[in-house]
Amino acid sequence: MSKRKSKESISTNGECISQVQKVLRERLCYHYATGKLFGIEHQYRHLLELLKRTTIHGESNSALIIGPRGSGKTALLNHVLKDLMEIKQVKENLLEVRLNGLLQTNDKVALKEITRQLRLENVVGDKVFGSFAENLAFLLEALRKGNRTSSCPVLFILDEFDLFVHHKNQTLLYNLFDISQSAQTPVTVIGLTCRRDILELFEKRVKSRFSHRQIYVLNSFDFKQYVKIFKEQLSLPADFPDETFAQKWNNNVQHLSVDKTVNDVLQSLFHYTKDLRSLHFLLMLAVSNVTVHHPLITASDLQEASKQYRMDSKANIVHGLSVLEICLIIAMKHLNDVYEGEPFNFQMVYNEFQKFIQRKAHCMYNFEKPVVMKAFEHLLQLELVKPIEKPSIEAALDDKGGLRC
Amino acid sequence: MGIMNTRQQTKIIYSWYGKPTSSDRKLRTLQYKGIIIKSERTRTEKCIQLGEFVLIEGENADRPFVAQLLDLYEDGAQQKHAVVQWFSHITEIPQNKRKLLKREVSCQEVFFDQVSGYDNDIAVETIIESVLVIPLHPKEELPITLNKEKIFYVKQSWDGKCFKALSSDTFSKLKEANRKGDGVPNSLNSFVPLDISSMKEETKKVARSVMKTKNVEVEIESKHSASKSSLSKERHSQRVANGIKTPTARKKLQLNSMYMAIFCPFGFECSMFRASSFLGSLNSGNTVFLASLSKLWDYLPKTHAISVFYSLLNMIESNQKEDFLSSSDGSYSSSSEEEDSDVLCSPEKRTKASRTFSIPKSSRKPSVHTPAKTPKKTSLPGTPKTPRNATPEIPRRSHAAQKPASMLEEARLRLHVSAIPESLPCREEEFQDIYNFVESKLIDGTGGCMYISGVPGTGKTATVHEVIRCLQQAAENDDVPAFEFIEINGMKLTDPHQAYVQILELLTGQKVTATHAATLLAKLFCTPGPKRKTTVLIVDELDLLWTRKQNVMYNLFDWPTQKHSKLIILAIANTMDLPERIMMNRVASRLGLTRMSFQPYTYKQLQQIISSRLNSVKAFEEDAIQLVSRKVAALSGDARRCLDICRRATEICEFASQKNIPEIVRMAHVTEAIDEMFSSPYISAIRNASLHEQIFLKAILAEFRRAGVEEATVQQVYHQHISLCRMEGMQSPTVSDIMSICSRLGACRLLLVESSNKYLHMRVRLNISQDDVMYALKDE
Repeated sequence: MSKRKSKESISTNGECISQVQKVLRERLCYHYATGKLFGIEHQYRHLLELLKRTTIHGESNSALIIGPRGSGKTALLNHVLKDLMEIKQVKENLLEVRLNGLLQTNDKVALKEITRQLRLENVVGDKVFGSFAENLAFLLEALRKGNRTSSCPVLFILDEFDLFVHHKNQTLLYNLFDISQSAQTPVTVIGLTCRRDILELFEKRVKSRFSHRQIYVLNSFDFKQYVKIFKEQLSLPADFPDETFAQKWNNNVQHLSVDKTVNDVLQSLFHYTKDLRSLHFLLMLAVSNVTVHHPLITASDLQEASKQYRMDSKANIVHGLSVLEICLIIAMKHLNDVYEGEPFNFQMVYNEFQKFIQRKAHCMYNFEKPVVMKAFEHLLQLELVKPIEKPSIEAALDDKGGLRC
Repeated sequence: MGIMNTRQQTKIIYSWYGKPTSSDRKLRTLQYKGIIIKSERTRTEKCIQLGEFVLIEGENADRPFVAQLLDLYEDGAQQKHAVVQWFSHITEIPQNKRKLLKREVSCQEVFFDQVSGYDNDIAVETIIESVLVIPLHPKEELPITLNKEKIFYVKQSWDGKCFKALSSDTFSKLKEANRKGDGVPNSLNSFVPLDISSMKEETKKVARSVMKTKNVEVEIESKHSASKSSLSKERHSQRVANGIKTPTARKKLQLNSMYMAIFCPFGFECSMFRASSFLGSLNSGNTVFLASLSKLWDYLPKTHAISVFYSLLNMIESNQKEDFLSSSDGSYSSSSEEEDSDVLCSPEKRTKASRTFSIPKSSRKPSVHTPAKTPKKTSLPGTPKTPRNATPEIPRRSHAAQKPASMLEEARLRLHVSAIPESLPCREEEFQDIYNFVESKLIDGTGGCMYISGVPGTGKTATVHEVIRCLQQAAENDDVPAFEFIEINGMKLTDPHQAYVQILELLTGQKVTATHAATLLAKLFCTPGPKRKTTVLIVDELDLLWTRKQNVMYNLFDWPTQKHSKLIILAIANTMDLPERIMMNRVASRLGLTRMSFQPYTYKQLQQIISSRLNSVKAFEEDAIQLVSRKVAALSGDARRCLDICRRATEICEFASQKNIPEIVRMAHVTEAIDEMFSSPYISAIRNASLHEQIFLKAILAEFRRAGVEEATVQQVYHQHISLCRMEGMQSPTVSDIMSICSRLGACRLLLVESSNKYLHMRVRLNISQDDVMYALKDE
């Protein structure tokens, strides 16, 4: 009887765990608007008002969202869009065009993509035909025909905005900004970028047409807030199906947030980087450890995750080398010290290695030259050693940190 | 091919009829009473005398103009001229004026043209052929005639404003002219309906039936002169081909003439064509035979040729009747396809053609027409092109846009750059200069260029548009001659040569390739074009039309200097010395010295601009406006910036006063907006960076100080970093950490970083001054 009961509890537990995994992974992995926003309420309101005016009043605008990588620019935009779409008047009135600088590498491709996403009449099925010039003329004509009060507003979202700046003549940007500053179809151009010098990259005519609205997303929180974010990101929501488990889980998270080791882990990550994406990554590693038999996150889980996350890659490679290879690296390090970073070649390394063997012959087998050559080539392949860009076969030691272990 | 071109050029010869009737010593002109048009190919001569009605070549070969010959003379330079009275077709009358008529107009009706702006002195070479124009009383119905192409009716006159009944004087004159003229085509009482639209089907039927039954009729009909539209098109295609040397264009010419042949249904060439295509479809063994045939064609007079061909056809028909039928169909479809791609056709025709001859592609394959001579058109079969009649349009919104509710919203709407103000303050002088320039050129009926420069946001384009708007109004009030206005923008073109395409499309609605467009435009502007309004062309962002050979710019500025171009160009760019800097001498000299530069706005002007835009809306404090103006004037003098700041300030103001208390924008709001737009983002970026990132920056500073060079490798910085960490008693980061910190700072462009494949030897530089970094880090 008791056996059966325990089995039952395990099975419910199993369901719970998979629920937990689902909820938390969704929150940590996607930058869709499932999570919460932290410390950017002001920016959120600014952007929301901006887009509202575009859709409801038909006012054209342009803005840039600038912030370091992983600081939540896309999350901010997605949040705003999600909240906007809840207003009925907005939902039926907004056309969205999303471009990415990494995908649309020139204006020709970008134009086709815009035309496709707007489903203009020169789209056949899923393809856009016609030359670049035709497409541009067609799109501009389409946008020129509209006016503020009657045509549907278009929202252009340009991700990796800084890459669009390098397109020839900045034709696309000029035209988008020009439309946003003239009495045509209302458009709002939102650019997302991590470059702070973006305004200096604009051509002067493009710069003049840009409205100079910049929304900065900075990670402007201190450690206390950081711990709070950690707690909130890990807590289960109130509408979690199994309430008792959620209670237990949330209590555990509360304990973790005041735990010394956990705080140390978080502190070191906070000092290293403040962006939330890193925090999410750390939590993700920790959450994946949760199983039926190990239903709650512990401090050691987090410590382990942190170790995994902040592993020194080069040192790790050195750990896996054979004795001969390590000897060669030491020889190279020696050469590097003697000749102050001058490049060296294989013969020099081999000589150095021979010297080493003669001194400590009792503990080291004297390998033949071809074998040493092979080991040297392996190091080259691992990119611990790099050939110098000269026709000669000289090489320079690339690794420094590896020698500390 | 070259030989062929010259042959076609000399095909139509114009000569005077009779002796000069009178001469003018002073002007050194000789007047004549008629002209003979001799076509070499068809070996026909036509004499057109004064008072007769003629068709004149237009910009668009589909629509020749109708006119009456009033005078014929030869000037001192031996150029033949004609003075004409124009008639307007309904399509030449502006769309918005057509409804003044309050009735349906048949395509045969024309209007006695009394619009003043047109040049009525034309070159004789533009005359196509004679037609008949019959005056009718306003109440009279148009009589139903068969030959729709050659007879026009006139009921009313048109003077650019309204339609009037013909005065009895003109009426009788026109009547007189008709009675006198007998050079009207012999087909006046034609027994065959020559409706263009039905023509194709007609031909097709004939193609099928004729060969079997061999109607005698055909032979009679084949003596018909070609219909008017085909004639004018033929001329057009010749002109087009003459200027072009690319192989594709040549192809076009051949195919075009092929299509011509088909198009005149009972024409002679038609049967010729059929014969040759038939032969071609037989087998390759017959090619020699065919070659001799086509030679024969060149030498024999028409009637002989016909009989030869018919006997030939007779001979072969007996064994390959079926084959011929299919191949003749094939030839049809391919030629109609040709017509399809020919932009000169109106859409109705096009759709009709494609409907009637939708034959599977495979049947087109056998190269039916003139074997071994005409290369197949290169366009890939099966690639769908952009639907031609796709209308560019953004969907309409489903909810009406909200009206501004509060005063601040109203102000924001007025302050948007896109809002068109009632007047343009502070640019009165420039406005007047440009206006005077364009107006004087318009009145003189000549061409000219003007170059306008100024930094962005100083109102160049806005002023020019305002000038055009005023002139258009003046033209409506008849103060200046009517003109056509078109605009291109260098930034909105994918390639400088696309400028031609856009100009041509805006002028005539034709869509052609860039090289073709260039020749057409050159023809349009350089030949004494009959009946054309002056064109005002705005070229915005001129510097982007620069090419290595500068031929786009050269052509643009060369056309206005041509005698008959009637082209006024207003070129706009940013730099004042653009002509000297990037243009070759011959381009710069054609641009001329009519220049104007727009100075950046001063703070007083900016203030005035904002106040005039706000007009009566009291949303701003006076001081706030002044602050914005002074700030912007000191930075750039860009009016767009000024308006954007004000707009942002209204938002901030609205944001600050949540409690529904109407507030006006004060200094504080403006200051905040300015700070938001112009503050350096670097300081706050450094302050919000993580601890190790800050230490890394400190390490860079320390390394710079140590080495005395403003550049360091990551390795060197790393050493400094570790020692700094030891001083602070912190755990030092690993190499991987340092690399990622470095790349993160590089992505924000706080640092300038080399490409990362050098690992620790990567060189690093600061992107901001050292003082800024120190200032940002000190306050911590």
